[in-house]
Amino acid sequence: MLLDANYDEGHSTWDVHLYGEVDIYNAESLKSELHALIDEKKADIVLDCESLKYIDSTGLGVLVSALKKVKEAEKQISIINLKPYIAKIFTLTGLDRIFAIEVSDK
Amino acid sequence: MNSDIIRLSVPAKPDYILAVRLVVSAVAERVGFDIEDIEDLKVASAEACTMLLAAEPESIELCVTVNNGLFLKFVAAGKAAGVAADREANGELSQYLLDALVDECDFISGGGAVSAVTLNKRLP
Repeated sequence: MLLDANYDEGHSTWDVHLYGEVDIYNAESLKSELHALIDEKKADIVLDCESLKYIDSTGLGVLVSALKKVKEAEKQISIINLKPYIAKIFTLTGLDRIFAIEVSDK
Repeated sequence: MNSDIIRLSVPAKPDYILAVRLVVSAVAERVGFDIEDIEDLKVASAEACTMLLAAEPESIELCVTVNNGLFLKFVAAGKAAGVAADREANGELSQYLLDALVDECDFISGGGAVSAVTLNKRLP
């Protein structure tokens, strides 16, 4: 499992924690899990990446796919606690302009 | 001075890209790259492999040459290598990342698909 998710009734958001390393091996699995959440309830998603150690372009593709799906319901994905070396990947690909990103200072 | 060379061959399956990343990061650490450069090399190696997997080869052959940094050559080997296959929708992202993360990168194409990728990252 790459994530655990809880629906925050107070803020009407999905609080999602991502774990480990996302690459071509498990990106499809992450996509299924994220899309299942969105199908269950259309809400903003807060993606906590404190425990995310690695992501490549296939993982970024999954996040973009999830973003497209939530935007259809006029919702948003924000990414928090991103490690600086992973934030760099978002910046290089221009994805920092389509996700609301908060970088960890750790 | 002769360059040290490390070779690795993995089946062309997503399962083994992790092994490629681990080898590259271990050698990069031993050569003296800092943490940030090692992370760059891990991502660049995975992107190179992802591009090659699109050609559906039998294996991916990696040759790492240690010479004032790392020169990495990834080759798609086996019967289907070089045959055009459905490309990953995010192949463009892979190219952006490769261009940005290493000092030089080059692609060798055959039959409409990438059949080899070379990456060069020098020590600062």
